[in-house]
Amino acid sequence: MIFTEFRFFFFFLIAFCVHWALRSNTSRKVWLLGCSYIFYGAWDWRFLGLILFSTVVDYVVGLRLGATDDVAARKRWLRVSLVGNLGLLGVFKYFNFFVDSGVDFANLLGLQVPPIVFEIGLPVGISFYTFQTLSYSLDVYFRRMQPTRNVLDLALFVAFFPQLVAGPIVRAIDFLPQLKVVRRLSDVDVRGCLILFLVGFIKKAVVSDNIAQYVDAYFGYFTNYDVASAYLAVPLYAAQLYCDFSAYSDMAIACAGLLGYNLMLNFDFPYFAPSIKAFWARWHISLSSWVRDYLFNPLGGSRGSELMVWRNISVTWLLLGLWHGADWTYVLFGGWMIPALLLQRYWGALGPHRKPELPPLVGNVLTMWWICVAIIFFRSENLDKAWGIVKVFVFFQAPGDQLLGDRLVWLLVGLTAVHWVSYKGYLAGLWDKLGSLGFTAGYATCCALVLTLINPNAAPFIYFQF
Amino acid sequence: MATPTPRFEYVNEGGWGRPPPSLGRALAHTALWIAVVVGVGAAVRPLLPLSPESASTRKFEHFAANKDDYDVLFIGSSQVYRHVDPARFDRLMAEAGHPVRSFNFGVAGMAALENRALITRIAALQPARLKWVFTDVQRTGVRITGDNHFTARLASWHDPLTTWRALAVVAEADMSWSWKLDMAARHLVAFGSWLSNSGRARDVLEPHVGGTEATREAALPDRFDAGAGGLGPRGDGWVPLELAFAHATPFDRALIRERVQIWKGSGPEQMKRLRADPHQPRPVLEYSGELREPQELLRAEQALLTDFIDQVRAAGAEPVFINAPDVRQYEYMLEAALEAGVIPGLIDLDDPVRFPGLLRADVRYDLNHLNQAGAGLYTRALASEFAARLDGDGAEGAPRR
Repeated sequence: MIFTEFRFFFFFLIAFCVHWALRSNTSRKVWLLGCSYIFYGAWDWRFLGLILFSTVVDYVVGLRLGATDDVAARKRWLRVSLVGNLGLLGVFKYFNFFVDSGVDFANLLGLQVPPIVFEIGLPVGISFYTFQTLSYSLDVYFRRMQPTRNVLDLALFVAFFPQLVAGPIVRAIDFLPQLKVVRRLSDVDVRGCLILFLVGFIKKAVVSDNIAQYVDAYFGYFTNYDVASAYLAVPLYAAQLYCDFSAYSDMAIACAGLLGYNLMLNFDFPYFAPSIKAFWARWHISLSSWVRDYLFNPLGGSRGSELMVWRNISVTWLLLGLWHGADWTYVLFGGWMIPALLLQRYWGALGPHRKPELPPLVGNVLTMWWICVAIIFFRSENLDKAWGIVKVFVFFQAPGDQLLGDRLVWLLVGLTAVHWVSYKGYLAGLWDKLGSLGFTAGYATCCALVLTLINPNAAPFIYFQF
Repeated sequence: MATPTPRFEYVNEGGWGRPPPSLGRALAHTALWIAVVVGVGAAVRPLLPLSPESASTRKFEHFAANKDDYDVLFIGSSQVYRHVDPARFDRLMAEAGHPVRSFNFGVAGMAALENRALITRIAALQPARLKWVFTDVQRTGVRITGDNHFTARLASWHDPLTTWRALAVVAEADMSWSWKLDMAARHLVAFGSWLSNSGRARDVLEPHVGGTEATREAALPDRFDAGAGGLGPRGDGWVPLELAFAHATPFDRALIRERVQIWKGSGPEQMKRLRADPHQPRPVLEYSGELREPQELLRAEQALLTDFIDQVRAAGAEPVFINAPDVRQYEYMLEAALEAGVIPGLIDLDDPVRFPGLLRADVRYDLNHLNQAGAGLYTRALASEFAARLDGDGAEGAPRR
């Protein structure tokens, strides 16, 4: 079930109406949990067992961690959570990757190892909900929060349907306290949620789904095209990726808001970031902050010897790349960030008087170019294709001479202009000037016009595969 | 200590200082929202071009531009699209003393529901010369498969009345409740797409900001399927199938041979008896477990055909129904309609005794399509039957009425 589908609107309408019609907090939570399991089961009900497993493991681990001060015992219980959650990821997401890589390596050494195939589907959203449950156990372990005794709360935190399959990655420390307070519809900024949902819908159904055909044409047949086409297709893919993923977050936040719950901000105009570090502070914030808090900082962060900092940055970014998908292309996607971050680290260490001042626009353009190279790895099915497109994009060695379409420049210019206007906040507050009926009529008019621009052959969200 | 995570504050536990929502206000705003969405959609719809993804668009645009030039329209499935050669038909009719100009409006896969929507749009054009509209639809097309979900073509014919007819056919069909619910939901989604003009404005913008046609075709080769409803080499809507039946499987070839032999042996009386009895499967049906037995005409199907006749007459023309030679013989809507007196007559070319040539393997493309040579035979037979009907020939061989 995709947020832009008709059936989701019917599903959400029922979920919304019944939720607010129920009186007690417990009955509402039971209802939302049921809706969440139906929502997830619409993809494949068999994988519901994994969510239940993850919930039960972390519920028990949380209680045990809260019940003892014994350091060794606490470590043991934390290990149970880590093994349970990372084990799920390892089996369902990375097993074939590691086995295939092992077989390839063995063959490289001259050992004749036949390919080993383990037929298993990737459960939608497994990377998201395992990280959520891990954050709960880690926060309880680090005594940042008390474990919950209410299994319903924890189950709803893990399975809450607006953000279940593609984030934002919610922290228990943010979400569980909200479950204790009875939600009131009068506390909800309905207008803000509706606008945010429409913005997300436009990003996904109008922009991302319509751009996809040009991106697919280039990445499918890049050997036919020239260098200019690469400089159209790769930025278009950047736009598609942003609009696709941030749209999901927007709609998730809006749906959660309409049900009375706040979720964290996940995107903050990352393509206007002046550096790679700033980019990651604005892109998929729930993941980058998770990795910072639960991986990079525990490893030592930016403290310690230079070698240790190098190690911490490298491990963090290689794993962050691997989080996205079980393929070497994703590892390189993460790895491509390492030199930029190290360069930025030493550039910053030069001090204000020794480093030349760069205009902000130069920083934006360089960052965007770096990100474009990274997403070539992200989008390509294999390393050969990625390297072929990188050669076009970085070294201007194009195998073909066809042009993807010169008018696509105007599409890019238009998208950039709209994004910049939003970034500057010129669109904020426009709706506030309308009265109650005016807002409804204006919103309906926007909906009617937007629907004429959607791509009816909607594709799933890109981040569903992670 | 973890850094605090930023949040969207769409829920303020202290409230927003606005009046508390009430059920009445919510319902009023919902009603207003629906009214405006439907109203804006209706206002915008005439301004939007037909989707190039809808297979009938090219033909409709051509006909709209030349609506007063044609006396005869052939509307229907690929058995019209591939079989009726308008130029040959016109020549044969002129030789028979009935000069006409015809246009082939056949579209691959078009069934009665889509046919109904199309004839309604054609009637709205009020073509000045149109005298006859031929059609061959043998099935309603109510079953939407997964592959056809959310296509622009599907949305294009789900206007309110056609959707209503589709839902009526679904309700009356002898199928399980789960099938009915699934199909009803699919038709309602398609209606929603029609109502909201889903995706139709992007076809206006795309040429100005999009890639080249080649780029789009490379990305989505099925999207602009010229094969489903092209205007053809002479611009009269006929696109013949060039290949012979040689590529067909031995089973298919045997099926055709066997059917002709059986029917030749049974004779016209035997054939009539078999057709008159809806519970009597034809001998050919024994060849495949998937073939369905003839069924009685549903009330909803009857209404669908009546709609078609009414719309043709609203366009100032008369309907002419054709039974095309089809070895598979899945459904028999027109024969049942004739028996029930719903349609005024039927030119029956699905008759191995009178038209054995149409079942020969060498004039066939596949089990239910003729190749170019077969189309020549088919058009000749059709013109001959129709001319005889116009001449009031009541002898053996005249179309049944």
